[in-house]
Amino acid sequence: MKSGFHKEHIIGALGLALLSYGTWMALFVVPPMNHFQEVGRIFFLHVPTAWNSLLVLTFAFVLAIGALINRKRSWDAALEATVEVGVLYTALLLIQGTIWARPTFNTWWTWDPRLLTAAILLVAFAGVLSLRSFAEGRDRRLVWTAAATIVAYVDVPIVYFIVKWLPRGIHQPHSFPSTVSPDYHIALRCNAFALLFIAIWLIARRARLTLLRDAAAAIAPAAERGADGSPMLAGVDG
Amino acid sequence: MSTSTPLRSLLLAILLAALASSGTLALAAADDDDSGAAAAETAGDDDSAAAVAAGDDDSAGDAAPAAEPVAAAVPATEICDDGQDNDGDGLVDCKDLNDCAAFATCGQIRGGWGWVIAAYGISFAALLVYTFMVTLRLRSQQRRGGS
Repeated sequence: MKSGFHKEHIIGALGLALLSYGTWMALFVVPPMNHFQEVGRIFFLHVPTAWNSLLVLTFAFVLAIGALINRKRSWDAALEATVEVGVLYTALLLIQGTIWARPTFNTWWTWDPRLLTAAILLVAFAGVLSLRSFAEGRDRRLVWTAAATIVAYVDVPIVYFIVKWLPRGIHQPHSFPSTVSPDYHIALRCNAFALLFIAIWLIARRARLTLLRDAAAAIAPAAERGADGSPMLAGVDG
Repeated sequence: MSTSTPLRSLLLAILLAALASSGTLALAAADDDDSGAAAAETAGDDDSAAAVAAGDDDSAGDAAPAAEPVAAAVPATEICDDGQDNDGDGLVDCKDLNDCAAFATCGQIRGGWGWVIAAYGISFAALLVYTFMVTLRLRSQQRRGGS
């Protein structure tokens, strides 16, 4: 497989440029928030991370259904990559949230419904990756990953709507352009699109890595492969 | 029945009376089947002493009558957005920092740029490390693939 320039780098470069501009806007241009003062600048990274985390995991859900239907390796590779990036974004979301909570609410963590469901989301999708690593055989790995992704996805709408259903928690309600000062729109949108483009770039590269491994396994001598074509570890049946 | 039970009950009653007279909550429980449990709680007044010793049929009649347990006063919890002083401490809603510091609209901001730098720094570092790891593994795989 060629190792030359890939089109996804254009998206990655665009994402990095937007993230640089959005971060510069968020840190040095927009005025401090009335109540949260300088700490409010975390908002410009935390909210786009939340949007993209849920978006990436929704994409994983779509890929999971598609992979179950067509059983294609490329879909499975994309699904694995998407779940991995979704876990990364969700972990960052929770870390940013705890850093936000400490100076504003004087606590790193509370068992607020939104926080709890977001933590469950992280554990659930990390569990999908863990389950995948235990599955033997390509087909079984695909089916287990897709099925577990569909089950874990149940938590995504709960995370989104929980602030409407149980509004008395520590977490604030949904942030929309209509609920945010116009001064903040550009920085928010820049970072939102930046994180989306970076996610696409990372997913493409991670999926390419999986496909390369599969290709390498396919051309490996039969003695080094398992019955399903996946590479075997030395001295270990698989 | 053990022959030492009346003596033990008497000692227990003396001990409980001493604790009760000093205003201390005293709790005692019997340690075998022959003697019952005893519990005493004082109202905190130095002049009052209450002791209970309950044992088997032989000693129960000698003991002082059981004191009714006094329920500890539990303060009401402050509701942070109703404009009322629910717990009666004179502080209403967000002014009651003990109860409402963690409530969404009562946050007292502590700190500034350090938290912002931490949030952005950790996030960017994590993205960078993940990108670096994927790129490294990709190149390694490409090299192994002979391309």
